[in-house]
Amino acid sequence: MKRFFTYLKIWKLNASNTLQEFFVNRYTHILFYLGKVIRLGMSLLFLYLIKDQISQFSDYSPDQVIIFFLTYQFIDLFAQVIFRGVYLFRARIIRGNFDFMLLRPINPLFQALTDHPDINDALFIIPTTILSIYIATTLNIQVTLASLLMYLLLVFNAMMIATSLHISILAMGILTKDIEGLIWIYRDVMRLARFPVTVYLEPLRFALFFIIPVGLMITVPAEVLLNLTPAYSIWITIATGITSVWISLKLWKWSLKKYTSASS
Amino acid sequence: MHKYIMVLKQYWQNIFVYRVSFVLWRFRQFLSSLMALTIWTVIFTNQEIAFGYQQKQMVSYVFLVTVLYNIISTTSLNDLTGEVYSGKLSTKLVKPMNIFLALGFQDLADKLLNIGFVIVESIILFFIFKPSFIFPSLGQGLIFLVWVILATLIAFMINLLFGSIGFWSRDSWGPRFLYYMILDFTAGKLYPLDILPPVIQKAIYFTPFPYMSYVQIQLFLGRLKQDQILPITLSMITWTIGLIFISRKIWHKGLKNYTAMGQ
Amino acid sequence: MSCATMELIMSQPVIQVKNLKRYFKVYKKQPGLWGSVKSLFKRKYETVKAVDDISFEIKQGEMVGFIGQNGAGKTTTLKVLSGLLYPTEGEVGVLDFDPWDRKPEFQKQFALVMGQKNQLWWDLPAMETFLLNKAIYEIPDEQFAKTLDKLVDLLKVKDIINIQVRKLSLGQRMKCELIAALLHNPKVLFLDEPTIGLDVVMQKNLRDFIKSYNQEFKATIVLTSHYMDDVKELCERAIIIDKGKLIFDGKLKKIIDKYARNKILSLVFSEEVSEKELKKFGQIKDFNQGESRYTATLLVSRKKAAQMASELLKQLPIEDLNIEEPPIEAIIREVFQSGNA
Repeated sequence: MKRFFTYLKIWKLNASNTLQEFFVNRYTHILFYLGKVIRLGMSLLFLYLIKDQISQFSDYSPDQVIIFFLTYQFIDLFAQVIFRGVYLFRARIIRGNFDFMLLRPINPLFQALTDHPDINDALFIIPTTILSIYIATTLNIQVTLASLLMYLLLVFNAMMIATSLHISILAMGILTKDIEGLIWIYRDVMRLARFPVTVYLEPLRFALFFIIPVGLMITVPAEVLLNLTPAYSIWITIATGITSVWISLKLWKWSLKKYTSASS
Repeated sequence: MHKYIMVLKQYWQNIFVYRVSFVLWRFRQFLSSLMALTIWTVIFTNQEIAFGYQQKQMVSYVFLVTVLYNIISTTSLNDLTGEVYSGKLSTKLVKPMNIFLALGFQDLADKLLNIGFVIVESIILFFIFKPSFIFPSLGQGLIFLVWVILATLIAFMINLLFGSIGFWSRDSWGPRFLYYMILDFTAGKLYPLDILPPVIQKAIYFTPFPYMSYVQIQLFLGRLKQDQILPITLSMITWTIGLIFISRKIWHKGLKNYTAMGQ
Repeated sequence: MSCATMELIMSQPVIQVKNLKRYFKVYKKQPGLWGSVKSLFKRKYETVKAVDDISFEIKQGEMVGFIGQNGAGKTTTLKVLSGLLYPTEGEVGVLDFDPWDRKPEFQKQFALVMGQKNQLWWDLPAMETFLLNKAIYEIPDEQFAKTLDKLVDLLKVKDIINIQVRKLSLGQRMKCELIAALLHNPKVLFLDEPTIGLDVVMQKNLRDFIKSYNQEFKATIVLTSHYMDDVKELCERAIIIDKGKLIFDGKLKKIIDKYARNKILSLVFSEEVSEKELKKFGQIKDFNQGESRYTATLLVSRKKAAQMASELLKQLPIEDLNIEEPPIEAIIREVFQSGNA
């Protein structure tokens, strides 16, 4: 129990230090924020334009498509808030700073995942989530209490899958130092899930459900929320969530054994 | 001339060392085009025309924007700010080469490499989506080429300006991020500029953004009126000259201080 | 506990290494663009034996120096002792722990200080990183305050710990990095090239600090360096590693007396001097009499170096004279060539 509080305290200190860094670089961060606002604004604009001109998007109504997008928005953003440290990992390995993580009496995986929470995104996610909920209430969709609860469970499951993906990326970062951009592949694949993943052609479709399972992270929860038949059952989705975490942890442990450390 | 060719070769070799990263980068671009083509195919399954475009035109649009994006907007100069700030640029400055030509060739190396891959990717996408294309007339084609070259220069100048931030500040990813966000929806990898409400379109025309691939594509697809061509060309030339001028001034100033600081 | 038991505990080695091996694979590539393409299809591997069967024991409070050339295996050994690297073969024990387990109880008792590696947050004052480390190592408030005060005093950095790290000079930054590494009062200290990149004054300060740390806290200190002076000043015992193998483990004085027999005299003359004349004073390594510079390098036996120097100054037209230690590489070469000690 004491360890839990130590970990919590460390996370809070890291967050507070990151916040201080934020102020030191405030102009950069303001521009970042602005860029994100523009990006979100343009995406929403596009969806509303589709709603205006288009009556049916594959098996879904435009309103339903918006729900898929909002789900993507939340999950993608939330993962970035917590796991921003993963984006800095490659630089740390190259400069030899990962050694410090291994020396400290704190789980190095915890450090690598969470030691740089993104304040900018934290400030962004709050208003955008409120906006998302508001937009959702204006849409013509069928949501019941049951489907909403199931949705929340599946969003939690999605975060588990996101965690396992980030862990795998860290492990790959240790094993193959010359891969830059693995985290960006993950983000780009996530981006594909802005729209319901069922519209993509095979074999991409399968890959998006079971290789980098963004379909299970975003499409299935949204389908469940909208009381549509999900592409894959809830059981499969949750089983994948749990299995993926287990696999990623094994991968991480193995990668540590192979770690060669930057030379002096 | 030989030494600039060396710049090209060196750049390619460097990319080769990080070839996995490069292939991943191409894969990401591929995914992006794949997404756009899929979405529009889905949209057009239920209707003939959307936003004033036929399916043929929209698909041509996506293919074109992919190719143009990799010719005009390249990322080889992303590290320039860091190099300037840290003093690493000095190693390039002391060489008997014009720094702007050297950077230009570096950029060219990047473009050539990416174009090669884009062609392959486009072929793959062609076989998946089997689109029918629209081709411009010879006259339009020539103007198209001129506009592409001007756009390339504009983009290069903007990148140089971002790089020059390094004379005064550690990094430029703030403004650069904003730039790419705006570029994303004006040069539109997902959708063309003219589906947006006219008010937004008008605002954007005050910036160089529409000239960075939008106008070229509109010309290619035959969606421009004859009397628009000249004003657009003049605008582009003005932007190009203006940016070259500003860029030169700022770099001149920056370099003066640079050498004075003994970097 | 009886005195005998105490003594027994005290004499237990704090660090035990048995037949340690650490190998890793390195890819070889030919230079040039064509070489890059070739490496796509066929890559040549080479197994590098960074550490090749090393054994030693270190007792509490000892200060031991690892000497060796770059790439000899010193840093790798330290990293295995710290739990960063997984041994290919062999047994390692530090404070009765297996470092690879990386148990928090173990990690709270040692520190690895790597010269030129930074853990301080760049945009923030060093103090913020100190507080973070306090939380990480679960250091109680009182102990933290006491240790911090002592370290800050020893290193004389009181005024700068609240200034942004990026505004500090290299020397100041290094001192703060050191404090960050030692806040938890480690009993065992691994120092990897601690003085690299520092100027002469800083090097001396650092050495003095390490000496006082050892005395004050009775800490066991293992340090690697390729500066002979570091090891000479601090360590009684030296372990020489060459190409992954341990070739000497014993008193430093013994090596120096036995192998560092000579000192190097660098001479600059104001006018031409004959080789024959110079030969009288020692073994000539270098002799340049041309153009406008007249220089020479002599090897003179250690004991006679000072005397020879004064003789030289008296008898020859010398403009400048410098007495230096032979570089460690030369000493190691000697040790290695003459077989193990």
